[in-house]
Amino acid sequence: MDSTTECIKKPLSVLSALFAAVVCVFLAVALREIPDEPGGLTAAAAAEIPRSGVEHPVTAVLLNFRVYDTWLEVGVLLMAAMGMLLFQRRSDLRDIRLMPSPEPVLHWLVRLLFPMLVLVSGYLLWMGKFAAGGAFQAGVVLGSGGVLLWLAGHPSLTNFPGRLFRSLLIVGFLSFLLASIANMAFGQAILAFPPAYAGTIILILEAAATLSIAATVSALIIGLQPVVRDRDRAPIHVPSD
Amino acid sequence: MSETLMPLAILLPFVGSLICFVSRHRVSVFTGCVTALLTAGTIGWLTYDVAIHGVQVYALGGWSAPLGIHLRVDGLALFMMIMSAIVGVAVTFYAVSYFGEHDAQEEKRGAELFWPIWMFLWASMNALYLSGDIFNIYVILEILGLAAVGLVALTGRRAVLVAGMRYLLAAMAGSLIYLLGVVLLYAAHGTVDIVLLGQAIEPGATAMAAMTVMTAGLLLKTAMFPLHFWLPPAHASATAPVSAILSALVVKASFYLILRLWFDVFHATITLEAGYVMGALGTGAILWGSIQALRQARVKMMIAYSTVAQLGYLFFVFPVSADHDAANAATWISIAGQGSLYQALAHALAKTSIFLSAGVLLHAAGSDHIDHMRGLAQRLPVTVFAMALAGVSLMGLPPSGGFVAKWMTVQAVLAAGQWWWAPVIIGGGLLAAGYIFRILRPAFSPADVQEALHPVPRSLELCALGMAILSIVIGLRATDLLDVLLIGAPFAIQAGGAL
Repeated sequence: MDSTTECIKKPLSVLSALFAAVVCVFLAVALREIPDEPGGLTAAAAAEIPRSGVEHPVTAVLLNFRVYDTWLEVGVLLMAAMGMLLFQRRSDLRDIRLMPSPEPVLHWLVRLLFPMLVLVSGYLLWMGKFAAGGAFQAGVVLGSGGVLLWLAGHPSLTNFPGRLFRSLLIVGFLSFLLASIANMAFGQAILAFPPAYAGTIILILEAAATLSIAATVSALIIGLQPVVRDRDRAPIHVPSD
Repeated sequence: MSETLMPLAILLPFVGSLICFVSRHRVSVFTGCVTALLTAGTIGWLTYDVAIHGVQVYALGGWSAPLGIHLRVDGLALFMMIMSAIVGVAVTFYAVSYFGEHDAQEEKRGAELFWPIWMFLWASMNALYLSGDIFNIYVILEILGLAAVGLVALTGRRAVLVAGMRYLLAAMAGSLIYLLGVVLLYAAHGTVDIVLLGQAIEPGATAMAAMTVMTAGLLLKTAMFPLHFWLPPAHASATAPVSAILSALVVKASFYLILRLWFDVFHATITLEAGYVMGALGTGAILWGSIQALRQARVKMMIAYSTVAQLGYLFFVFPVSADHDAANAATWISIAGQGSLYQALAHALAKTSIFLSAGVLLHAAGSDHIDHMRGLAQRLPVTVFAMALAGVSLMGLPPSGGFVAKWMTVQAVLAAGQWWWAPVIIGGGLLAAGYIFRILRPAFSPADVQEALHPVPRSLELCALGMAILSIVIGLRATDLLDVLLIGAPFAIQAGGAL
């Protein structure tokens, strides 16, 4: 934004530098008081891991002890996707297709890479149970697959009808919501997973979240491209795979 | 059943939002109305329940704090949720006719997404008030910010997008600064639960730094003077129902959070100087906001600056409660707290009414320029009457809600021996009268030319009038609402003197 850049003039930048320095000193003083030994809730989390249904402490915190936060994070992504649709005045991504490249090497590469991305994404999702991984990592990898397809001129999200595209965006958030409603129906606290089934429930929730995260990430990238509608271009032949 | 009321107040609007997002427009509108009524009903039931049983705590996932996240409801949280529910229902029904009237394809796209985003915003506000966990609140602030920016961008005109982008940057900066404070507190005390932090906190540099950065971040999100730069363009350029939601509810959410943190977490850290800084900001907001409101040529811009000014009154609770060692402090802290929250409610109702009326004006006359208001009292009597009533509350004339709020605030500052805030509070009312009469005077003077007015659906006018009448009525029934507010609230006197 031009008006913002014009505002930053020299005396102001000196002032803000001074201000930043004062804040830094202030924070440094505050940090000196913080105890050195790693405290926090690490021990408390470790003690409850057997009841969490997973083996990795990060996954146990994100998908069980504090799953409410994770659910709302998925909600943040959903809001970002809705915001993008609103800013771009669209209800789906149809007709934002790129021209397919005539380059045969590119098509060969995409055919090689895309299945691998799907595999890696599935593996990351599965791995969350016992190592660092999970829905967010898996979703981003899968989402990059969607962007790759689109960049190479293949139909990806841009081929999904509106209702299906929107369902894909909400399926992650919805699955946590349904889990909460099921909890209520059984008279439990919402987002409580019985230890015996916790592992399975978490995997299902994560799989649903992966789909939504992938759809959101690729939709944010594809949807923000300048709009070039199909009808504005000469008809082109899309190579069939 | 009653223990599920807290999560239900969050889940219901979320369910409504998802249904609206995948449904066609007519279904969305119906779902939105049903959801609004159900959510308001749930909050009413929760109020009844809390009035009988007192403060309630709900451990999400069955994990208790500090490992898990608690939902917690007390009078303060409930008061904010009741406020959101009243404004929420009015805005929902207003939006049905308001967006139903627009035929243009572009406008319709935006209107389709109003419903899911508004329901999501409402759910996240309820989640914010019920949350007992400062990290969880950070996540909610992100949702709240994104949803609010989305709503601003509803009409998609260029000026709106610029205002929306500025709003987005301010909201994100505010959340990140807040997060820095969360990190400091967790590193120092090993918990993010509000109640546990309140017990663990000790005066010192860390607590002071955390308090400063969290307050600063939230002041930016509240659009407190001098960090209000993003508010007027965003609130004035949004559509009428959205402006009402933003001005009445969204800025109050971050104010609530400052109050919650100062009373429940940082009570041991607060110094008189910190309180005076907040009081000075309040003074600045009242003066600067009112003067700017007097200079605006457009009604919506004027109302937006009036929001900047009216937010100032909320902040006198801080200097008064910072003087907590004096004898009888508990009494005046309690009065100041009640005055501040009552101002939040009175302003929410009055501002909703005026923004909804401005929407009627834009719809009927095609412009909200003050010059175009000439003679409108004859042609849109209901709307002008609603604006006048709401104006009475903003000025703080008896018997309105705004009067009760300002009266209590003046009482509290005098009792606390901080008399110098009193002239500001009273003078602010005079300035408010100045800008309210700037729109009422042309409205009641005869028009030179009778331009044709676009017909206005009666329901739009009635929603605005309903809110205006409520803003007066709450002045007559103040004790009932204040009794709810005091249940387990941080400034209830029974609690043994708040701070």
